[in-house]
Amino acid sequence: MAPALNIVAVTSCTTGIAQTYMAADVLERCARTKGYAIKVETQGALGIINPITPIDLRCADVVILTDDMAIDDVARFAGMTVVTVTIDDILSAPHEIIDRLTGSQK
Amino acid sequence: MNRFAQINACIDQLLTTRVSHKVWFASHTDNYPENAFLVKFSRIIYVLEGEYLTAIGHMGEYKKIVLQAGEVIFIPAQTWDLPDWYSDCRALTILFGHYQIGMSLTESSAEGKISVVKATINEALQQEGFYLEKVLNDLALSQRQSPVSGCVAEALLRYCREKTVDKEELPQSVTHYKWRAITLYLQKNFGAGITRETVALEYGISANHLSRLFREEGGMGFNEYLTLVRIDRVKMLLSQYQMTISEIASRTGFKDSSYMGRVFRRHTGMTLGEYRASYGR
Repeated sequence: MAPALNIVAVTSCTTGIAQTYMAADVLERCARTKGYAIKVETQGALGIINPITPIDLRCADVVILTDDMAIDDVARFAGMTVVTVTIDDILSAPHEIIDRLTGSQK
Repeated sequence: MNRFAQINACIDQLLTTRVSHKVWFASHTDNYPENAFLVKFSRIIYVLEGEYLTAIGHMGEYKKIVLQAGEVIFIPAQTWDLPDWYSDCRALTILFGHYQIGMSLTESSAEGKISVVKATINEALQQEGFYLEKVLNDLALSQRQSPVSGCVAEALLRYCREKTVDKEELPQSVTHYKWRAITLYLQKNFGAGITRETVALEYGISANHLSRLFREEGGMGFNEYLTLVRIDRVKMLLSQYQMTISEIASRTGFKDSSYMGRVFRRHTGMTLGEYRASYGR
Protein backbone atom coordinates (compact mmCIF):
# COMPACT_ATOMS: atom_id res chain seq x y z
CA MET A 1 0.00 0.00 0.00
CA ALA A 2 1.24 3.47 -0.82
CA PRO A 3 2.37 5.38 2.24
CA ALA A 4 0.30 8.37 3.28
CA LEU A 5 1.91 11.52 2.06
CA ASN A 6 1.45 15.14 3.00
CA ILE A 7 2.04 17.37 0.01
CA VAL A 8 2.20 21.14 -0.19
CA ALA A 9 2.37 22.88 -3.55
CA VAL A 10 2.56 26.38 -4.99
CA THR A 11 1.29 27.05 -8.50
CA SER A 12 1.91 30.13 -10.57
CA CYS A 13 1.87 30.89 -14.30
CA THR A 14 3.01 33.81 -16.41
CA THR A 15 -0.34 35.53 -16.90
CA GLY A 16 -1.91 34.36 -13.65
CA ILE A 17 -5.26 34.18 -15.40
CA ALA A 18 -6.22 30.55 -15.50
CA GLN A 19 -3.50 27.89 -15.52
CA THR A 20 -2.46 28.67 -11.94
CA TYR A 21 -5.96 27.78 -10.77
CA MET A 22 -6.48 24.85 -13.12
CA ALA A 23 -3.20 23.30 -11.98
CA ALA A 24 -4.23 23.69 -8.33
CA ASP A 25 -7.54 21.94 -9.00
CA VAL A 26 -5.98 19.09 -10.90
CA LEU A 27 -3.26 18.51 -8.28
CA GLU A 28 -5.85 18.42 -5.53
CA ARG A 29 -7.94 15.93 -7.45
CA CYS A 30 -5.08 13.61 -8.33
CA ALA A 31 -3.57 13.61 -4.86
CA ARG A 32 -6.95 12.88 -3.32
CA THR A 33 -7.62 9.90 -5.59
CA LYS A 34 -4.31 8.44 -4.41
CA GLY A 35 -5.21 9.04 -0.77
CA TYR A 36 -2.61 11.73 -0.15
CA ALA A 37 -3.21 14.97 1.72
CA ILE A 38 -2.45 18.11 -0.29
CA LYS A 39 -2.63 21.86 0.11
CA VAL A 40 -2.07 24.07 -2.90
CA GLU A 41 -1.27 27.77 -2.66
CA THR A 42 -2.02 29.74 -5.82
CA GLN A 43 -0.03 32.82 -6.79
CA GLY A 44 -1.95 34.31 -9.69
CA ALA A 45 -3.65 37.57 -10.57
CA LEU A 46 -6.00 37.08 -7.61
CA GLY A 47 -3.01 37.38 -5.27
CA ILE A 48 -2.04 34.60 -2.90
CA ILE A 49 -4.94 32.27 -2.18
CA ASN A 50 -4.91 29.40 0.30
CA PRO A 51 -1.49 30.35 1.71
CA ILE A 52 0.70 27.60 3.13
CA THR A 53 1.14 28.16 6.86
CA PRO A 54 4.15 27.28 9.02
CA ILE A 55 2.10 24.38 10.41
CA ASP A 56 1.48 23.05 6.89
CA LEU A 57 5.21 23.25 6.28
CA ARG A 58 6.04 21.33 9.41
CA CYS A 59 3.64 18.52 8.43
CA ALA A 60 4.65 18.38 4.78
CA ASP A 61 6.71 15.49 3.41
CA VAL A 62 7.24 16.93 -0.03
CA VAL A 63 6.84 20.22 -1.91
CA ILE A 64 5.75 20.77 -5.52
CA LEU A 65 6.69 24.10 -7.06
CA THR A 66 6.06 25.42 -10.54
CA ASP A 67 8.94 27.24 -12.19
CA ASP A 68 7.17 29.23 -14.91
CA MET A 69 7.41 32.33 -12.74
CA ALA A 70 9.45 33.18 -9.67
CA ILE A 71 7.49 31.95 -6.66
CA ASP A 72 7.05 34.40 -3.79
CA ASP A 73 9.01 33.43 -0.71
CA VAL A 74 10.72 30.20 -1.84
CA ALA A 75 13.04 30.46 1.16
CA ARG A 76 10.38 28.86 3.37
CA PHE A 77 10.91 25.54 1.57
CA ALA A 78 14.66 25.43 2.27
CA GLY A 79 15.83 22.00 3.40
CA MET A 80 12.67 20.23 2.24
CA THR A 81 12.21 17.73 -0.56
CA VAL A 82 11.21 19.97 -3.45
CA VAL A 83 9.97 18.76 -6.82
CA THR A 84 10.03 21.49 -9.46
CA VAL A 85 7.73 21.16 -12.46
CA THR A 86 6.21 23.36 -15.14
CA ILE A 87 2.55 24.30 -15.24
CA ASP A 88 2.23 22.35 -18.50
CA ASP A 89 3.60 19.22 -16.78
CA ILE A 90 0.87 19.47 -14.19
CA LEU A 91 -1.90 20.06 -16.69
CA SER A 92 -0.80 17.35 -19.12
CA ALA A 93 0.37 14.58 -16.78
CA PRO A 94 -0.66 15.26 -13.18
CA HIS A 95 -0.72 11.62 -12.14
CA GLU A 96 2.90 11.11 -13.17
CA ILE A 97 3.96 14.02 -10.99
CA ILE A 98 2.17 12.62 -7.99
CA ASP A 99 3.69 9.19 -8.68
CA ARG A 100 7.15 10.73 -8.92
CA LEU A 101 6.75 12.05 -5.37
CA THR A 102 6.68 8.60 -3.82
CA GLY A 103 10.04 7.96 -5.50
CA SER A 104 11.56 11.23 -4.33
CA GLN A 105 10.44 10.49 -0.78
CA LYS A 106 13.34 8.96 1.17
CA MET B 1 5.49 53.21 -11.70
CA ASN B 2 3.77 50.78 -9.37
CA ARG B 3 1.52 48.00 -10.63
CA PHE B 4 -1.75 49.79 -10.00
CA ALA B 5 -0.50 52.98 -11.63
CA GLN B 6 0.45 51.04 -14.77
CA ILE B 7 -2.90 49.29 -14.94
CA ASN B 8 -4.83 52.46 -14.17
CA ALA B 9 -3.04 54.34 -16.93
CA CYS B 10 -4.16 51.64 -19.40
CA ILE B 11 -7.74 51.69 -18.15
CA ASP B 12 -7.90 55.48 -18.33
CA GLN B 13 -6.58 55.47 -21.86
CA LEU B 14 -9.14 52.90 -22.94
CA LEU B 15 -11.96 54.80 -21.25
CA THR B 16 -11.04 58.11 -22.87
CA THR B 17 -10.31 56.90 -26.40
CA ARG B 18 -13.05 54.37 -27.02
CA VAL B 19 -16.73 55.12 -27.05
CA SER B 20 -18.42 51.84 -27.77
CA HIS B 21 -17.16 48.36 -27.07
CA LYS B 22 -18.15 45.29 -29.00
CA VAL B 23 -18.55 42.47 -26.51
CA TRP B 24 -18.03 38.79 -27.29
CA PHE B 25 -19.43 36.15 -24.97
CA ALA B 26 -17.88 32.75 -24.50
CA SER B 27 -20.43 30.00 -24.02
CA HIS B 28 -20.52 26.42 -22.93
CA THR B 29 -19.76 23.70 -25.48
CA ASP B 30 -19.86 19.96 -24.90
CA ASN B 31 -16.31 19.51 -26.21
CA TYR B 32 -13.41 21.90 -25.91
CA PRO B 33 -9.68 21.82 -26.61
CA GLU B 34 -7.64 19.93 -24.04
CA ASN B 35 -5.42 22.87 -23.11
CA ALA B 36 -8.25 25.39 -22.91
CA PHE B 37 -8.49 27.76 -19.95
CA LEU B 38 -11.38 26.85 -17.70
CA VAL B 39 -11.75 28.13 -14.15
CA LYS B 40 -14.35 28.48 -11.41
CA PHE B 41 -14.69 32.25 -11.66
CA SER B 42 -15.72 34.58 -14.47
CA ARG B 43 -13.24 36.71 -16.41
CA ILE B 44 -13.41 39.66 -18.74
CA ILE B 45 -10.75 40.70 -21.24
CA TYR B 46 -10.42 44.23 -22.59
CA VAL B 47 -8.23 44.56 -25.67
CA LEU B 48 -6.16 47.73 -25.36
CA GLU B 49 -3.91 47.65 -28.42
CA GLY B 50 -3.23 45.38 -31.37
CA GLU B 51 -5.11 42.19 -32.18
CA TYR B 52 -6.09 39.61 -29.60
CA LEU B 53 -6.35 36.10 -31.02
CA THR B 54 -8.35 33.55 -29.11
CA ALA B 55 -10.86 30.73 -29.42
CA ILE B 56 -14.15 30.40 -27.54
CA GLY B 57 -17.37 28.47 -27.60
CA HIS B 58 -19.85 30.39 -29.71
CA MET B 59 -23.39 29.09 -30.36
CA GLY B 60 -22.27 25.70 -29.11
CA GLU B 61 -19.33 25.52 -31.54
CA TYR B 62 -15.57 26.04 -31.32
CA LYS B 63 -14.80 29.39 -32.90
CA LYS B 64 -11.55 31.25 -33.51
CA ILE B 65 -11.91 34.99 -33.15
CA VAL B 66 -9.74 38.07 -33.60
CA LEU B 67 -10.49 41.03 -31.39
CA GLN B 68 -9.46 44.58 -32.21
CA ALA B 69 -8.53 47.29 -29.75
CA GLY B 70 -11.61 48.36 -27.79
CA GLU B 71 -13.31 44.99 -28.09
CA VAL B 72 -14.16 42.93 -25.04
CA ILE B 73 -14.68 39.28 -24.29
CA PHE B 74 -16.59 37.97 -21.29
CA ILE B 75 -16.03 34.40 -20.10
CA PRO B 76 -18.47 33.12 -17.46
CA ALA B 77 -17.33 30.79 -14.71
CA GLN B 78 -16.73 27.20 -15.85
CA THR B 79 -16.57 28.32 -19.46
CA TRP B 80 -13.45 27.90 -21.55
CA ASP B 81 -11.36 30.09 -23.79
CA LEU B 82 -8.00 29.51 -25.43
CA PRO B 83 -5.92 32.61 -26.10
CA ASP B 84 -3.11 32.37 -28.62
CA TRP B 85 -0.38 34.74 -27.48
CA TYR B 86 1.38 34.92 -30.86
CA SER B 87 0.30 38.41 -31.88
CA ASP B 88 1.21 41.99 -31.06
CA CYS B 89 -1.32 42.79 -28.40
CA ARG B 90 -1.92 44.52 -25.13
CA ALA B 91 -4.89 43.33 -23.12
CA LEU B 92 -6.25 43.60 -19.62
CA THR B 93 -7.88 40.55 -18.06
CA ILE B 94 -9.95 40.99 -14.93
CA LEU B 95 -10.75 37.95 -12.78
CA PHE B 96 -13.71 37.94 -10.43
CA GLY B 97 -12.81 35.68 -7.51
CA HIS B 98 -14.83 34.87 -4.41
CA TYR B 99 -12.73 37.19 -2.26
CA GLN B 100 -10.66 39.19 -4.69
CA ILE B 101 -10.69 40.95 -8.01
CA GLY B 102 -7.54 40.14 -9.95
CA MET B 103 -6.05 42.09 -12.81
CA SER B 104 -3.50 40.90 -15.29
CA LEU B 105 -2.13 43.22 -17.95
CA THR B 106 -0.56 41.18 -20.75
CA GLU B 107 1.66 42.36 -23.56
CA SER B 108 2.45 39.83 -26.22
CA SER B 109 4.31 39.97 -29.50
CA ALA B 110 4.20 37.96 -32.70
CA GLU B 111 7.11 35.88 -31.35
CA GLY B 112 4.92 34.89 -28.41
CA LYS B 113 6.98 36.71 -25.80
CA ILE B 114 4.81 37.94 -23.04
CA SER B 115 5.18 40.37 -20.19
CA VAL B 116 2.71 40.77 -17.44
CA VAL B 117 1.74 43.12 -14.65
CA LYS B 118 -0.57 41.69 -12.01
CA ALA B 119 -2.50 43.47 -9.29
CA THR B 120 -5.10 42.35 -6.81
CA ILE B 121 -8.00 44.15 -5.21
CA ASN B 122 -8.73 42.46 -1.91
CA GLU B 123 -12.48 42.46 -2.07
CA ALA B 124 -15.03 40.68 -4.21
CA LEU B 125 -17.48 42.49 -6.47
CA GLN B 126 -20.03 44.31 -4.38
CA GLN B 127 -23.20 46.27 -4.91
CA GLU B 128 -23.27 47.74 -8.44
CA GLY B 129 -20.19 45.74 -9.45
CA PHE B 130 -21.90 42.55 -8.32
CA TYR B 131 -24.97 43.31 -10.44
CA LEU B 132 -22.97 44.40 -13.49
CA GLU B 133 -21.18 41.06 -13.57
CA LYS B 134 -24.56 39.33 -13.24
CA VAL B 135 -25.88 41.24 -16.25
CA LEU B 136 -22.93 40.06 -18.35
CA ASN B 137 -23.50 36.49 -17.17
CA ASP B 138 -27.11 36.77 -18.18
CA LEU B 139 -26.20 38.13 -21.61
CA ALA B 140 -23.67 35.31 -22.02
CA LEU B 141 -26.38 32.74 -21.32
CA SER B 142 -28.85 34.36 -23.70
CA GLN B 143 -26.31 34.31 -26.56
CA ARG B 144 -27.81 37.31 -28.27
CA GLN B 145 -26.31 40.67 -29.13
CA SER B 146 -27.71 43.33 -26.87
CA PRO B 147 -27.23 47.07 -27.29
CA VAL B 148 -26.42 47.39 -23.58
CA SER B 149 -23.55 44.88 -23.45
CA GLY B 150 -20.89 47.44 -24.40
CA CYS B 151 -22.09 49.91 -21.79
CA VAL B 152 -22.21 47.24 -19.10
CA ALA B 153 -18.68 46.05 -19.91
CA GLU B 154 -17.50 49.65 -19.69
CA ALA B 155 -19.38 50.22 -16.44
CA LEU B 156 -17.73 47.16 -14.91
CA LEU B 157 -14.34 48.49 -15.95
CA ARG B 158 -15.15 51.85 -14.39
CA TYR B 159 -16.20 50.09 -11.20
CA CYS B 160 -12.88 48.23 -11.04
CA ARG B 161 -10.98 51.42 -11.87
CA GLU B 162 -12.54 53.13 -8.90
CA LYS B 163 -11.57 50.23 -6.63
CA THR B 164 -7.91 50.60 -7.56
CA VAL B 165 -7.74 54.24 -6.51
CA ASP B 166 -6.93 54.04 -2.84
CA LYS B 167 -5.61 50.52 -2.68
CA GLU B 168 -3.18 50.50 0.16
CA GLU B 169 -4.80 47.20 1.22
CA LEU B 170 -7.41 48.54 3.59
CA PRO B 171 -7.99 46.20 6.48
CA GLN B 172 -11.55 44.90 6.45
CA SER B 173 -13.66 44.74 9.55
CA VAL B 174 -14.47 41.47 11.31
CA THR B 175 -18.15 41.88 10.46
CA HIS B 176 -17.25 42.20 6.80
CA TYR B 177 -15.37 38.89 6.87
CA LYS B 178 -18.30 37.30 8.65
CA TRP B 179 -20.69 38.56 5.98
CA ARG B 180 -18.46 37.19 3.24
CA ALA B 181 -18.18 33.82 4.94
CA ILE B 182 -21.96 33.63 5.20
CA THR B 183 -22.52 34.63 1.56
CA LEU B 184 -20.14 31.84 0.51
CA TYR B 185 -22.03 29.43 2.76
CA LEU B 186 -25.26 30.46 1.02
CA GLN B 187 -23.72 29.99 -2.40
CA LYS B 188 -22.81 26.43 -1.44
CA ASN B 189 -25.92 25.45 0.50
CA PHE B 190 -28.79 27.27 -1.23
CA GLY B 191 -30.15 23.93 -2.44
CA ALA B 192 -30.80 22.66 1.07
CA GLY B 193 -33.79 24.03 2.95
CA ILE B 194 -31.87 26.77 4.69
CA THR B 195 -33.60 29.74 6.28
CA ARG B 196 -32.53 32.87 8.09
CA GLU B 197 -32.90 30.96 11.37
CA THR B 198 -30.83 27.89 10.44
CA VAL B 199 -28.01 30.03 9.04
CA ALA B 200 -28.01 32.21 12.17
CA LEU B 201 -27.76 29.06 14.27
CA GLU B 202 -24.92 27.72 12.12
CA TYR B 203 -22.92 30.92 12.70
CA GLY B 204 -23.87 31.32 16.34
CA ILE B 205 -25.60 34.67 15.94
CA SER B 206 -29.20 35.75 16.33
CA ALA B 207 -31.51 35.92 13.33
CA ASN B 208 -31.93 39.66 13.76
CA HIS B 209 -28.18 40.17 13.92
CA LEU B 210 -27.87 38.19 10.69
CA SER B 211 -30.35 40.46 8.95
CA ARG B 212 -28.53 43.55 10.19
CA LEU B 213 -25.21 42.13 8.95
CA PHE B 214 -26.66 41.68 5.47
CA ARG B 215 -28.24 45.12 5.32
CA GLU B 216 -25.11 46.88 6.54
CA GLU B 217 -22.43 44.95 4.67
CA GLY B 218 -24.20 43.78 1.58
CA GLY B 219 -26.76 46.50 0.97
CA MET B 220 -29.51 43.91 0.63
CA GLY B 221 -31.49 41.69 2.95
CA PHE B 222 -30.70 38.08 3.76
CA ASN B 223 -33.70 36.66 1.94
CA GLU B 224 -33.12 38.92 -1.02
CA TYR B 225 -29.56 37.65 -1.32
CA LEU B 226 -30.57 34.01 -0.95
CA THR B 227 -33.32 34.40 -3.54
CA LEU B 228 -30.86 36.00 -5.94
CA VAL B 229 -28.48 33.06 -5.59
CA ARG B 230 -31.33 30.61 -6.15
CA ILE B 231 -32.73 32.48 -9.15
CA ASP B 232 -29.26 32.50 -10.69
CA ARG B 233 -29.11 28.75 -10.44
CA VAL B 234 -32.64 28.38 -11.79
CA LYS B 235 -31.64 30.43 -14.84
CA MET B 236 -28.57 28.29 -15.38
CA LEU B 237 -30.50 25.04 -15.08
CA LEU B 238 -33.30 26.29 -17.33
CA SER B 239 -30.97 27.38 -20.08
CA GLN B 240 -28.37 24.62 -19.99
CA TYR B 241 -30.23 21.49 -18.92
CA GLN B 242 -33.40 19.65 -19.89
CA MET B 243 -34.61 19.29 -16.32
CA THR B 244 -38.26 19.44 -15.38
CA ILE B 245 -39.50 22.47 -13.48
CA SER B 246 -40.15 20.49 -10.29
CA GLU B 247 -36.67 18.96 -10.45
CA ILE B 248 -35.19 22.44 -10.72
CA ALA B 249 -37.29 23.66 -7.78
CA SER B 250 -36.09 20.85 -5.54
CA ARG B 251 -32.45 21.39 -6.55
CA THR B 252 -32.48 25.09 -5.89
CA GLY B 253 -34.16 24.99 -2.49
CA PHE B 254 -37.57 26.38 -3.47
CA LYS B 255 -40.33 24.69 -1.53
CA ASP B 256 -42.41 24.00 -4.63
CA SER B 257 -42.43 24.79 -8.31
CA SER B 258 -45.38 27.17 -8.30
CA TYR B 259 -43.73 29.29 -5.62
CA MET B 260 -40.50 29.23 -7.66
CA GLY B 261 -42.47 30.33 -10.71
CA ARG B 262 -43.95 33.31 -8.88
CA VAL B 263 -40.59 34.45 -7.46
CA PHE B 264 -38.91 33.96 -10.83
CA ARG B 265 -41.51 36.03 -12.58
CA ARG B 266 -41.22 38.83 -10.05
CA HIS B 267 -37.43 38.95 -10.53
CA THR B 268 -37.11 38.52 -14.26
CA GLY B 269 -40.45 39.64 -15.67
CA MET B 270 -40.67 36.29 -17.48
CA THR B 271 -42.26 32.96 -16.75
CA LEU B 272 -40.02 29.90 -16.47
CA GLY B 273 -41.22 28.64 -19.84
CA GLU B 274 -40.61 31.97 -21.55
CA TYR B 275 -37.09 32.09 -20.11
CA ARG B 276 -36.30 28.58 -21.31
CA ALA B 277 -37.72 29.33 -24.76
CA SER B 278 -35.55 32.39 -25.26
CA TYR B 279 -32.38 31.36 -23.39
CA GLY B 280 -32.35 27.59 -23.74
CA ARG B 281 -29.77 25.77 -25.80
